[in-house]
Amino acid sequence: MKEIKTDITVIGGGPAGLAAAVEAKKQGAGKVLIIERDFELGGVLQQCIHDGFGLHRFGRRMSGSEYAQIFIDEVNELGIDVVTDTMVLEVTPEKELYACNSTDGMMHISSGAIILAMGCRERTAGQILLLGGRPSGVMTAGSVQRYINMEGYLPGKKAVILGSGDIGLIMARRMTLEGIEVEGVYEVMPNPGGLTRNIVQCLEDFDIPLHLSTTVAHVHGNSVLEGVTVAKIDENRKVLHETERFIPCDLLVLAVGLIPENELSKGAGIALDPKTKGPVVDQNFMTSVPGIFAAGNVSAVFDLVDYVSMSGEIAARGAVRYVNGTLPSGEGKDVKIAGNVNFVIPQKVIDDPEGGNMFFMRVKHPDGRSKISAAGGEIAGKSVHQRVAPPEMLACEVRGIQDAELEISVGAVG
Amino acid sequence: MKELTCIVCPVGCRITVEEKDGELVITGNSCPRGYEHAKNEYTDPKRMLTTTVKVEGGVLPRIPVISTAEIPKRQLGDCLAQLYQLKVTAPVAYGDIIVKDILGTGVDIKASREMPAKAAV
Amino acid sequence: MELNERVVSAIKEQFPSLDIRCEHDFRDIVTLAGECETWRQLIDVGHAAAHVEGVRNVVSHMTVKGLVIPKKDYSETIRKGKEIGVIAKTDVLIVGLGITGCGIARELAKYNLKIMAIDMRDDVGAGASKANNGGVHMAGLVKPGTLKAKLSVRGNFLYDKWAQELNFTFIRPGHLNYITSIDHLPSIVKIFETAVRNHDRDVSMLDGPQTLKIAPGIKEIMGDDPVASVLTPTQGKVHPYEVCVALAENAVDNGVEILLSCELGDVITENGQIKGVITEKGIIETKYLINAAGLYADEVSVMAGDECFTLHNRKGTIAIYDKSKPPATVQLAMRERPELKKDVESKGGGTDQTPSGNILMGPSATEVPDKEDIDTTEQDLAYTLNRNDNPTITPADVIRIYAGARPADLKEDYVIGMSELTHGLINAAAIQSPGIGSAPGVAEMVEGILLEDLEKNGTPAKRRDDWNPIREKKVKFAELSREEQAALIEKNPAYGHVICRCETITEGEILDAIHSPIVPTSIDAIKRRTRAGMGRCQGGFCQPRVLEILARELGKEWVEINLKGRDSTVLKQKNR
Repeated sequence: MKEIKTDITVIGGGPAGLAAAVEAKKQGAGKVLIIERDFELGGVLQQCIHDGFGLHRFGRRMSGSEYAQIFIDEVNELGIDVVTDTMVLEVTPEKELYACNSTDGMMHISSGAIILAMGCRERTAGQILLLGGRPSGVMTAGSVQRYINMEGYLPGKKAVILGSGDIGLIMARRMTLEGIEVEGVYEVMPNPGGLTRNIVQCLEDFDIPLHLSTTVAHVHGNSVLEGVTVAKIDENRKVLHETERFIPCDLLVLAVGLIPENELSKGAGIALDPKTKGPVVDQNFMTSVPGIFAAGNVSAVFDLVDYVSMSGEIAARGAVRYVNGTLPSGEGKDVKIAGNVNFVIPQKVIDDPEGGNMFFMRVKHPDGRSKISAAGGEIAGKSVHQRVAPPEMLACEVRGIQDAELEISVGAVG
Repeated sequence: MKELTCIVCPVGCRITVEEKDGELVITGNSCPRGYEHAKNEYTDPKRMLTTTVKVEGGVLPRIPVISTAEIPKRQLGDCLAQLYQLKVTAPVAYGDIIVKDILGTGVDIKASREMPAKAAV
Repeated sequence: MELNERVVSAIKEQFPSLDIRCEHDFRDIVTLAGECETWRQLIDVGHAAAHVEGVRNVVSHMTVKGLVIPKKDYSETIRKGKEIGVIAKTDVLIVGLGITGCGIARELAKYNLKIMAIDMRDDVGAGASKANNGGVHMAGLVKPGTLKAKLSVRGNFLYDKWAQELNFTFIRPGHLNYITSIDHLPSIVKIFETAVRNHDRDVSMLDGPQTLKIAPGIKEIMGDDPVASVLTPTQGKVHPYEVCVALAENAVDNGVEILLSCELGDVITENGQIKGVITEKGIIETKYLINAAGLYADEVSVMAGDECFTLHNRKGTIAIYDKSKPPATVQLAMRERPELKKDVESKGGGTDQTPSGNILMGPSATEVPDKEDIDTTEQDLAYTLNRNDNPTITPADVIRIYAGARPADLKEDYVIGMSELTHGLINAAAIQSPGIGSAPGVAEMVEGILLEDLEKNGTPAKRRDDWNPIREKKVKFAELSREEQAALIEKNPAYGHVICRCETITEGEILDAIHSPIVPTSIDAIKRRTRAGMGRCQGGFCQPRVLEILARELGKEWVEINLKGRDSTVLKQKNR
């Protein structure tokens, strides 16, 4: 078994891990190692060939692959160690880590600090209890995206999309451009799940209809997809059978949500938040296990990659201070939420004047002009939003967090 | 007449653009940016172009590309058709121009990542 | 009164509005005709007839008002087979490679006989067997005196040997049926008595404290207060598809020839003797035909000139839960819920577990007219999810739902034996639950029938000297210690490349599966052999990699790789 010692080990080479590794190195960390399970760095960004990334950070419209490339180039320039095609099998509460690949074999890695950046996975047909057959031709949007944009293959000729989150919308346009007929996008909720920009540019531009409060009630076909039955649903998500309609198709694309990947976190004994499905973190994105940090979609599913990178950088600064012994320790106090806030991360604050001060939250329901306010701190920068909706994450900087209770709320303003 | 959803900010105003006596009448917007957006969408809508192009000898069979600026929407189909005819050879560097001034639009198509050559087995 | 008259009057008594006609033959097999109101009623009528004393089995020619009962058309298969002509001659042909056919193939391989086996699907165990809950049943739930009871008890006993020789995963967690109200005592006493009558010597009754002592999770996790329970330690669990593959691989290693994606179209008989079969891959001449064709076994028997039972699809829906929510107890602990047992023939499953530690709920039990119907429905899923007594798991923890078809006859017992009408036809049919557990018993019985007949005909079978009962243990990377894993990767780097992230399945294991006696050609066939894609992401990440490896190793294009079965390609064409 190969013994390796690092100052900081980053698990995952997607946007969170890349940003964390780069920031850790810039903050003076010694040996920084990124462990990536795919054959190259970049994570899901490598299959996100569409534009719309990096508006906040770089001020221009980049594709996901470009966004990744900029960080990958920095990783290389800074001399950060990278192992690809490598799977982390286990993280212990003592920060011992086991990983393996074909060239190094089994590795036992001891780290000063660990940053978890495994990202998230997609919800599947099984998880949404999709009824009917289980034929080929039923795939998650991310899988379709990978096949088309990276592997160069089309999984169907005529598609139905279930779920109107941004991934579903982006794939509607992408499939159309590749010559796959997209019959429509079906959304269980009464409101679209994705950004207005994507509704307009991915659906309206191509005359693809969006059907709200509608679901796929039945998948037809034992081994080959023959079509789907769609139907309206009522407020209790009961299928209204009289509205059923059969659509012949050979591809059903599921864009029905993302789940943070926290199997390694569970193994390390890290406390998880049932709402975010990610670790409970403090303002430095440190988890309940000292020295283990969480960044990006592992901690909660973000909508903007800029926030993902930002969380990686905050975690990296915390990790470097942890390794240097300058990070204050403490149980921390729960951040309280009020008003329209569904959840906020970080969920805890410790007494650390030099610590991170970014808070990310989702609202419970759509609302008009709304204001974020903080009791026990002071919001810096933009606090008023023209419109808020659950799919869009809100971010704010809170200054002057005292060793006091912090409460963050969102409420409508006139 | 054209109805559109404004994408300048998350409010998503429904804007109506009408031509009356050679003049554009724009209603429904709640800010000047929305007015500007609606005018452009009516007279000359533009979009960024992203797709993939065949690549030979790379670690992947396709390389993603992006336009260096927005391209008139009406020309997107023709641009795509041209890109699907192409085949580039690895290695390709990030930012390499794949097509210069595509269809005379003044916009270039560049590689949106690097594509290393596949190691010989 | 003649048997057919007694049957008619029994039916009339229960279903006065129906006009059902009945005939019986010299074997006391009755054939029913007439029209029923619903499919469910047709099954009920069949059961009513089967319950009449003296009825050996029931053939249904009944119809249902307004329902076209789906029927398979074999004409294209026959046309193809005849065009190709004779492709092989064999002593024994086994039709159907589910758990029953695989078990028989494995056991018969001991003898100096030429044996072939065919299946219409692209893999072994890919029909009813794969969609089973994997129970190696204890003796407390099968009706004493039935063939089913005899063979499931015998099968359960033989499983340790099978597992040892064939190196598949087999655990005996035991079964614990408990009650929380003394009013329900009769239900567990019945299980206890049934087990005893079926010669289970290990079964015992426990009081509340004894129950909690061996299964504290009943209180700590489930929140139940047991007052008594019946413990049957013999209850076992397997991955049914793994057992099928293990049996079939061992059979092939010992000379059995297997043809997959090979549908049977017709059976050739001459003067009451089996002569051969017509398949889509050509005609195979054979002296014996072992009919283990699952839900289609009744049709195969008819083709062979012996219509003696009718099969119906009793569909069962199963839900698999994420491993992060493990079962509350080691034993398969189930609170008896007498209110659920309305239907005696269709008792569904409850809370269960797989040998890999996933909670498994179900299966449900619903009669459906189409043998190919394995769709999940709202009602069946509701039944399955409602079987959950464990408050720590919710439908949000489900990672996969699926349904399978139980091949049930109307007598609700196994049909095993040499045909009295067509010599050479040996039926091994109507093997429904507990078919997985019974498989060794079924195989042993069929082996006996064949040997006896060969003996009688003056051509006794001889045991081969070179028969190898052992199927080598496959590498299961995830189950090894870190040191063992390290050593393995050193020996073969392919074991260092993890392909399935959720179940930690390596490229080495996938390569082992591909380069095995029965080459898996689809993504699902790889899944059943290695567990790649069986985890919480359901192949979201690993499917492209598995597909790539399959295409590379089989020398195929990516667009030729199927998910499951014919024409089910994952990818349709290259990008523009």
